[in-house]
Amino acid sequence: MITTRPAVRIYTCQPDLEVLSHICEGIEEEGVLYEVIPHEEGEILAIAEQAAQDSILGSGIALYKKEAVLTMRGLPRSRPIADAWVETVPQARIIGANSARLIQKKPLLEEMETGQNTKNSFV
Amino acid sequence: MKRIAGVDIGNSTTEVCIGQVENGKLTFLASATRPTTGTKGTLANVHAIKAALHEALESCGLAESDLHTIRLNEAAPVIGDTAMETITETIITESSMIGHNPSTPAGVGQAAGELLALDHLDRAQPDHPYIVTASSAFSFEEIAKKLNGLPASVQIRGLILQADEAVLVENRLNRKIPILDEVKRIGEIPEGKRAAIEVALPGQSVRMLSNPYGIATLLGLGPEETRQATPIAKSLIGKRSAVVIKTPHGNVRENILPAGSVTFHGQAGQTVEIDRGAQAIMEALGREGEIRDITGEPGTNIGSMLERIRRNMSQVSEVPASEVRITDLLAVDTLAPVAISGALAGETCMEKAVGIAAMVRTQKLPMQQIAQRLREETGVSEVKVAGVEAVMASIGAMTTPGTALPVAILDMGGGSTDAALISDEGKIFMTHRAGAGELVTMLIRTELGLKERNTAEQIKKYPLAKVESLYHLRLESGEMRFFDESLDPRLFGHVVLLDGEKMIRIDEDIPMEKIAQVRQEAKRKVFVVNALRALKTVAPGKDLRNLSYVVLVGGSAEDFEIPGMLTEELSAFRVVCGRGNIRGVEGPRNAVATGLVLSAMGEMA
Repeated sequence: MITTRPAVRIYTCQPDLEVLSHICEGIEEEGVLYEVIPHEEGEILAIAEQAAQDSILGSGIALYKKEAVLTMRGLPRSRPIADAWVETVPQARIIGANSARLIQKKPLLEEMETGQNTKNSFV
Repeated sequence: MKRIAGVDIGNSTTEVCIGQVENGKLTFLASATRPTTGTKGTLANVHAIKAALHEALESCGLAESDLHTIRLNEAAPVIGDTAMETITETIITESSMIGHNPSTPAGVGQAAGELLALDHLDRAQPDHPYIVTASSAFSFEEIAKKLNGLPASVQIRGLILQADEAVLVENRLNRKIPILDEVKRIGEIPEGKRAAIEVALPGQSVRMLSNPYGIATLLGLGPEETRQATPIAKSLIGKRSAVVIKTPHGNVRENILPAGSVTFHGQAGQTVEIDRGAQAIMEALGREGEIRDITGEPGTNIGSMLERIRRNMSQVSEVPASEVRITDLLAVDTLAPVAISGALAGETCMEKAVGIAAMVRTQKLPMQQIAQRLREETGVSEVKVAGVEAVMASIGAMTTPGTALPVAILDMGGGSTDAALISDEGKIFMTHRAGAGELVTMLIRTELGLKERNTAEQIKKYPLAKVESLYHLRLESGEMRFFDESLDPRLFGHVVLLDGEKMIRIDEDIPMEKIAQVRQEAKRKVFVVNALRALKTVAPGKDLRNLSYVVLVGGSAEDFEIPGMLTEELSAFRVVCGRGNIRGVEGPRNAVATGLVLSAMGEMA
C-alpha cells in the first residue's frame, strides 16, 4: 500500500491485539496519526527499521505477538529506541506515546518503576 | 639546590605548587589540586594537603623526602554562609484550585458549571451546567460512552480526568468540551460546588483564569470575592490548563509574613525593613562604613536566619555564638516556588524571597596545628605558616603575563569575594565580602525549584544545550552540533549540560532559555555586585577609575561567563580586567600556592 498520510507506521505480525490497541491509544493521546499494516514474518528489528523507513514521519513500530520494537529512521538496526516484551497497559501506552513524542521532539516517557496498577496487567 | 612546596587551603579546594631553587634561579616543577577535606583551617585539612603534595611530587618523579620546605597560607579568617527566606506565602485552606501543565489536555476554551462525579450522572438536572469529574477507575471508552448517552437537555460543559486520557476521550465525544487530565487527587474535588475550567490553545496559557476579572466573570464573584481570588489568578499565570473551584467559605489569601528588619552596627546604626528589598538593604549597608556586627529583629524570619548563621559559624569556629560577629552581608531579591497548601495537583506559587549571604570574621585559624601535624606526617622538617592569603595571591597573580603595578586581584571563591590591591609602593590593601559561588548555587536552585542542590551546582558550571534529535543538539548560543553516532534516547527532547564530551540530563521540565536566564541573573546579582563592592573598597580614593589592572583568581574565575561579565562591566571604568593566567600556564588557579613559593625566594635572598 502506498500512502502519504503523516503517520507512525506500525507493522504487525501475529500481534497481541490488546497490546496493539494500547500502543495505538498511546499515539492517539499524543495527537499523532498512526497506520497499522500487517507484515509477513521476518526479523523484528528489520521490520521495525522498514516501518520507520516507510513512515513519512520517520517513526516506526514492529509488533510480533507481545514484542514491540520502536525505532526511528536513520538509527542503526541494532540500536532501536525500545525493544520490549510488553506485559502491562502503561508499557504499551508508553511505547505508543514515545513513537509520537520522537516526532514532536518531546522528552520520552520512562516507565514508572513501582506503583503500577496491577488490574491493568494483561496477565 | 632547594625544593619548596606552597600549599593553599581554600574553602573548597586545596592547591599545591612545587618549585626548585638552584643558583638563585627558581623553576616551577609541578602543581596539583584536590578538594579540601574538612572545614578550612582545621586538622582535617591535612589529608587533602598530603594527597595534593603526593600527586604533584609524583608527577615530577619526586617524593616527600625530596622537599626542604612546605609553606602554608595564613587563610583569610572569614567564613561565609547562606540562607533563604520567603517573605510572602499563599494559603488555600480549602481545596479550591488546580492549575497545571498536563502534556496533553484536550479541547479548547473555558466553561463554568457545578461539579458532578461521573457515577452520579443520573442526578443531573436538565438545563443546568455541569463539569464532570472522572476517576481513573473508568476507561476512556466508558467515559465517552456515558457522556454520549446523555439526553440533550443535560448540559456537560467540561470534564476533569484523573488519567492521562484527555485526547482519547475527546476523540470519542460527540460534543466538544474542554478536558483537563492528569489530576492526581481527583477524589478531593468537592462535588456540588461551582467551578470554572479552562484549557488554552497549544503553545498558549490560560487567559480567563489567570485574570481576577476572568474568574469573577465565570464564577459570578462580587468585588470582595474577586480580591480574594487574586492570588489564585496569580498562581495560574503561564499554565496550560486550570480549574478554579468556588468554595463559599474557602479561604485563599496571600499572607505577608513578618519579614522583620536588619540592624547594621556600624557608624550610623541604621535599621532597614527586609521587605524594602535587596537594593535598599545594600544601600544602607554601603553608608555604614566599618561594620562591627549585623543583627536581625528577634522573632522574625531575618532574625532567625541570622541567628542560624551565627550558630553554624560558632560550631565551625568553636567560638561562643554570643561572640560571633557578622561583618558583612549580601542581600539578593529572588523568587522561590512554594507549594500551595490545599492544591490538588501539587501546584506551586512563586513567592517573593530574599537570599542572604553573611560573613563571619573568625579568630585566627589554628594553622600552626596543621603545620605541626604536617611536619610529623611528611617528615619535612621546615613547615611554615608564611604570609597572608591576599598578599600571596597578589604575588602569584603578578605572574600573569601583561600585568603591572598597581594591580588588584579579585578572588571569587565559594563563600566570599575577596579583593586586594598592591600599590606602586608595594603597599597592600584588602577586603573580604560576603557572597560568592554558594549563593549563586542557592539562587539557581530556588528560582528553578530544583530537587537536587547538585543540579544547581552543575547548571552554574556548564553551558546548556537541547537534544533536538538523536543526532544533533542546539546549544544555548544557537549553534547546532551534530553527531555521527546516535545519542542515548533517554536524552532526547531534554535540556542537557555539556561537561566536555559528557552530557548531564536535567530531569526538571524547564525551557533552556529560562534556565540560562536564571543562571546569568544569579551570577550578575552576586558576582558583579560583589566585585564592584569589593574593588571599590580597595581602590585608591574608593573610585574604580583609579584602578588599572584587575586579575581574577580563584574557583569562580574559571567560570565560563563570569569573567566576561566582569570584563564588560569594568571596561566602563577603563580598567583592564580578565581571568588570571598564573605563571602563564595555570589559568586562574594556584595563585596563592605560587605566591608562597615566590615569597620563599624573597626570604632566601
